[in-house]
Amino acid sequence: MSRATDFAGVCAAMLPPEAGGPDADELARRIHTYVSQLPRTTRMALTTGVRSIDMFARVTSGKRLADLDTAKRVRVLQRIATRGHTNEALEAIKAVVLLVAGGERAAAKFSHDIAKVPIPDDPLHNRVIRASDWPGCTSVDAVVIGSGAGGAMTARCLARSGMSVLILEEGAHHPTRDLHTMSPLERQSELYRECGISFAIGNPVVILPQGRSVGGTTVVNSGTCFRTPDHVIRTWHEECGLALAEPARFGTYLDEVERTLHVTPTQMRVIGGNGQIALRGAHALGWSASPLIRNAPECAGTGQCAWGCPLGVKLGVHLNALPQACEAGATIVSEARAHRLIREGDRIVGVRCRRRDGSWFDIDASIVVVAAGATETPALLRRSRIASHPHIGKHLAVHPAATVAGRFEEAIATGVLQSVGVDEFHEDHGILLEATKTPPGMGASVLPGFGASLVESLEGADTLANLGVMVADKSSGRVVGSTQPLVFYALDRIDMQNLVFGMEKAAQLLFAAGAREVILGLSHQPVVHSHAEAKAVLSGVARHDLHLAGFHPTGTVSAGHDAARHPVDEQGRLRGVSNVWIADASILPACTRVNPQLSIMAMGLAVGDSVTNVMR
Amino acid sequence: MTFHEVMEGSLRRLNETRTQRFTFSIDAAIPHTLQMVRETTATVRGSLWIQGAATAVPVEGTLEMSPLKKRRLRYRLSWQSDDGKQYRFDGWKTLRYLRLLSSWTTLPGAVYDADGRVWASAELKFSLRRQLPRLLASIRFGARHDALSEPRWRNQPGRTEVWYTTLTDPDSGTGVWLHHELIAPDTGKPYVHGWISVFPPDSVPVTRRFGPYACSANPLQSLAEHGMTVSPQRMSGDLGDVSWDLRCAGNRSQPLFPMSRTVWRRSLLPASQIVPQPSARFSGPIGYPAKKLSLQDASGASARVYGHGNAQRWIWLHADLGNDDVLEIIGAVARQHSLRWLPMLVFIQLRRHGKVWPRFPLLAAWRFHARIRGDTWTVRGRMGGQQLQVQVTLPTTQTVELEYVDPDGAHALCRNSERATAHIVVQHARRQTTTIEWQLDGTAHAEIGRHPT
Repeated sequence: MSRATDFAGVCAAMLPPEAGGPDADELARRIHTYVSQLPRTTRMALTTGVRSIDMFARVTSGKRLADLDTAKRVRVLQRIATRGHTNEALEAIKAVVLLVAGGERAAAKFSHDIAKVPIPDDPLHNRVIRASDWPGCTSVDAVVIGSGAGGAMTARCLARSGMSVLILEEGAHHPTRDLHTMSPLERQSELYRECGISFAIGNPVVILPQGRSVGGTTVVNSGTCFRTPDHVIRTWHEECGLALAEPARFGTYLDEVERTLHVTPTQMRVIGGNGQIALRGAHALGWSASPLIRNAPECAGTGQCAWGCPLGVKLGVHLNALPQACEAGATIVSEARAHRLIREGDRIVGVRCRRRDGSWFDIDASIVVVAAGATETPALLRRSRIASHPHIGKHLAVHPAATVAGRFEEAIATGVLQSVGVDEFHEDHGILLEATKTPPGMGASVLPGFGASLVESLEGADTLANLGVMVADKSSGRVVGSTQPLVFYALDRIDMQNLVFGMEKAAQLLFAAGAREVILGLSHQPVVHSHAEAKAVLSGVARHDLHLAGFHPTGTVSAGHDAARHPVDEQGRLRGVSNVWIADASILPACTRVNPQLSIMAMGLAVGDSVTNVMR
Repeated sequence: MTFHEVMEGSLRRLNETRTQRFTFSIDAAIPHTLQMVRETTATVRGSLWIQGAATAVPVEGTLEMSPLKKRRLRYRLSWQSDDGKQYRFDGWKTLRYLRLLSSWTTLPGAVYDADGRVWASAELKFSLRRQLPRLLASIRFGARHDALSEPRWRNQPGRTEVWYTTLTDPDSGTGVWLHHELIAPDTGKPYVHGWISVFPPDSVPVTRRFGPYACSANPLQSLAEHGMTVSPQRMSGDLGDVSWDLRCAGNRSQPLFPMSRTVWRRSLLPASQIVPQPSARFSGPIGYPAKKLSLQDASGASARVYGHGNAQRWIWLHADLGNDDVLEIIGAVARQHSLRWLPMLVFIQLRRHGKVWPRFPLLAAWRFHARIRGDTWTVRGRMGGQQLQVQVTLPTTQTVELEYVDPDGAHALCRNSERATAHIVVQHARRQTTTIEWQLDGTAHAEIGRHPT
């Protein structure tokens, strides 16, 4: 079991109080609180890591890390950082330390930005029943597992067709009112699976943040809404034989989703300093760039999208599709984890669920729609023993992203979290550059260095402008396991090349916008001072040097015509059983190449229509 | 097979914190006993209580039993609460072999409102200590409801078999008596006949006979050939100025066996009577001279008699006490000379809140005494801590006198009224305090009969 004192030495080493960092014991206590909410394996890995560092300090210097002076502590860490794999572990620990430290720094600013803003009403007030209050047995026409992008649209479609629909959500319901009083770290812990640091094992490790609350990832995403590119739809329809993606029909679904989300271009007044810099750099280089289209017509630019919009202006499905489903008669049960589907012969007759206190309840249903997400859906099918298809869990695409930051003279004004997109290299290389500004320490990137330099970087993070580099990847990952999914991801060689190319272009853009230095986010030589230097450094970068995040996992239970290749048929129905449909990102047979919220919601709508057609 | 089960527990309305006591008491009838092990569906009827919402309301539904295949016992019940609204309960016991006892006695479920929305969460338990002995004692292996209406006669001579129905129209107060009878004489050919008597409240009763018709192997078939339909679901006939077409809306409680099930099955007495549908609801047109009635949920009962003929003297009462409670009394003196001197045996079955008293009517028959004075008879007796007093009066102007013929050719006379009055008192035997009392004015169905010699 971890203790708060385990982290004290590492906190003192990475962010020394003597150099202006936070009090090490207090920071260690907060880290311990955060880590205690993580899954057991992650908790054990972190605890083992920090204890190993402490042991290394004792072996090499005779003292615990906390008892060494500032310089010696940094030297211990630097020695560990010289090895590739130990450096990865150290970077992971640093990411957690920076996350908690950054969260505390951000708390005051978050509260200040929303202090006088009126709290909107909750459209799901009294519509969400906690599992602890739900009966032990219920019977409905259709149960939808997952209240995210796909599940919400399917549930709305089924409820409007007259079916009695129950929506199961593993996470809790956090109305906008709650977000006003919760700290950023509390919001991250509550709104994300595994407190936001779930990851895929591989070289490099890829952070896979996934939302877990009523509304799913739409509560914590950036709100960027791209229509599925035409060539992607054609790939799905013609190469994979996905009937749901027939272009004309799919286009109407995308139109409906855009209406539901009130999709509009981001207004210039809220794009903030980060977006202005991205536009400036792109224009200087003659690249195609524009403010992103988002589902936040009344956005005030507080930049808190990834921790749930505290103003209720980023319109996730919990503010539109789910209330509309409830108006049509659907019921949402929160804090309920679908343990397995109950099978009789070739039919699924219901779902067995687990409450947070460990008790069970059953739901009988003649239709089951699984929309638990690309990593949870395969695990659920395995627990239900209906995952015999050999391709379930395979072909995971994550849309990997790296972050490149440029340091400017002036502080970067707050604005929309993800404001501007540069699609100059999208068509040829599948690369999207998106200006994404997160509070220091709370984003996907890891600030370089230890000790005083890290403290200085953290304090000076307000002058950093961030660009995310997203690459359309091949489906190189897989999800194994049934009780808890374990994700593996092997970055493809071509994807690696595209990623490095994209990082180089991001550095070029930032220098063109006036950056005096660019932080590439690499473990070795993270800072460069010119485009040429960036190009040279990146040309020799090793995989394990990269810090990647994948925000868009897709494809693990793909749909298509070929029964041998696709576990789900062209109408969205799982093969091998007669009444289970999949309506989340896992059925997308190829990477969307853009932020996939609209694509997933449109596919959810398509699956909903498919179900109602069968039931007619 | 039938059994009686009581589940007790509580329910909690969604978005509320307080719990309300929730109990139901049901009689389940399994059509095919052996299929219970694999998969079968039993019909259930009984009563239900929800604290503050439903007080002893009638409930009906199904119990799906699949202990091995689906490992589930699913209860579906529907009722109308005190507020007049319809609700239903749907819950199931999921049998877990490692926790067999607790899973078999715990019933979680949901209560739904008329719109199909979840209204409350419920959990009930079966108390092994209190309820298991009663459940085991209530198990009966017997025929289904419909099978109880099938003819028992197998072409033997010297038998009589009767299907009769009595009912009262709640709107007009009119009583109706339908009587269908097979007589297989000791010598001679069997025949079927019957009559319908209508007892309007404001005029003399009207009786019309039909038959005799020759009887084939199936008396009901023979009646049907002459336009008389007799079945648990429907009775119809047309005699010109009197006609009827009544549909039974479904029996609301289990059959009654006033002379015990064993006596009926094994014909241990010269004749025996059962009531397959003690709390039925009849709807449909019925016409008699100068009037046509359209019955809507008229309460009544259908009963059967089978044996060697009528008793030397007899009394009979069917009283609908409301809320599916009924009282059935048959008193009889045997025709055999050696047994005529014995006091009248009085067979009683009082069903109240789904429970029947006395439990062993054959044994209890000696504990009750009948006295007949003209058109009034009384029964008194005590059994199992309770004392029963019943006084029945047949109103002179609303009583018919009809002749019965036995298989041996003897004639009996009966006086029958479907607008009798009855005063029924149940008292605590020791304390002599009245537990409950009913007064039926014009809605009791009663008869007094005797052989003149």
